[in-house]
Amino acid sequence: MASETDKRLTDAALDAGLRALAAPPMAADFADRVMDRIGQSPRCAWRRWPRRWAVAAMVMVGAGAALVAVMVRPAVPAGARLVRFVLRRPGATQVALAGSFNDWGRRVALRARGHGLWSVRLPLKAGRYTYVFVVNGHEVIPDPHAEAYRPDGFGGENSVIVVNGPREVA
Amino acid sequence: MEESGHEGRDEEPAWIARCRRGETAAFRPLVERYARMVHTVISRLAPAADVDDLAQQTFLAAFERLDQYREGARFSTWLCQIAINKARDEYRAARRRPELGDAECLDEHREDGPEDQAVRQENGGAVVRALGRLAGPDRELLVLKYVMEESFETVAEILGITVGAAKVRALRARERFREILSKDERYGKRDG
Repeated sequence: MASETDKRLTDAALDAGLRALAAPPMAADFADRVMDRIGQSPRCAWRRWPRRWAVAAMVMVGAGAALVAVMVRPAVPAGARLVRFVLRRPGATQVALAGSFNDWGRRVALRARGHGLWSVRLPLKAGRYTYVFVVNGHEVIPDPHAEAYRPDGFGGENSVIVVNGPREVA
Repeated sequence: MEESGHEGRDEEPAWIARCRRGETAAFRPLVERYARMVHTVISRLAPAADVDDLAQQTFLAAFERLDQYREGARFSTWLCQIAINKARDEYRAARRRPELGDAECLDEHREDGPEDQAVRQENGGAVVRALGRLAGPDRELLVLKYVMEESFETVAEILGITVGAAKVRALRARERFREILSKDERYGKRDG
């Protein structure tokens, strides 16, 4: 404990202060609600299928998606332009993009292009956006080749990109 | 990682294997075992109003990604990584400092007199405020090391850094925490 004349806190006082923190009250039905949510999750539905049906379904979905990707070009909303985000990260198993373009909502997955290169194209309207890459689901890194950076308020940095209008030069 | 009052983790591989075979119900004992741990981690890293939902999201994500769980690793460590990622996502989405729970979250099991309780209550509020003013990485490290009382090896594994880096960062985070707390006039004082 600190006295009024010596406000420097001892290690023991710090440890005691932190250890005294306990978890907030937990709802008694927490596990029930988690299990309900798992039961309703479409992403969990495949677990309830026999494995061979799940594999067959995934193959069909994959084939359909490939067909659509070949036949349909990416739609670019009016006033937007396609912006390519690229990260070189050999050894990564997944890379995603998070940023202010969708108010830091759902992450956008980048596709592996080989040789450790990951990329995705996003239709963005003119403006200034901040973004980061999320590697392997947990490592948050700014774009090493960003135009600029700004503090994220949590000790790290966000990358900055300025998108010009569709008729302007990027 | 704590076992939340349960004896061992012997049954966990069997529960996880059953989940992977499609038995959703086999996930419930894992939720019941680690619910308290997940709540504790998230409550110190995210706004109080979001704790329950983020804890639910943590377990949902764990179930969905169970195929990525590496057998032999501690399930609690893996779950803690997911919980921290959920809290980080919340920071980024909300773009605000966490409104951490206040003194009602103090350990209520100790038996002290009213004066001690009042001092402890005020001290706890100061600790929570000081934690909230730390940068995210510092806060994560202090919560894992000193609130959850994890080993440096486990802290390093959860945060994806080396043990040496965890020790250095913990030292610096403690100093920053000490500085913030030392400036809180109400910390450590008794009335009269």
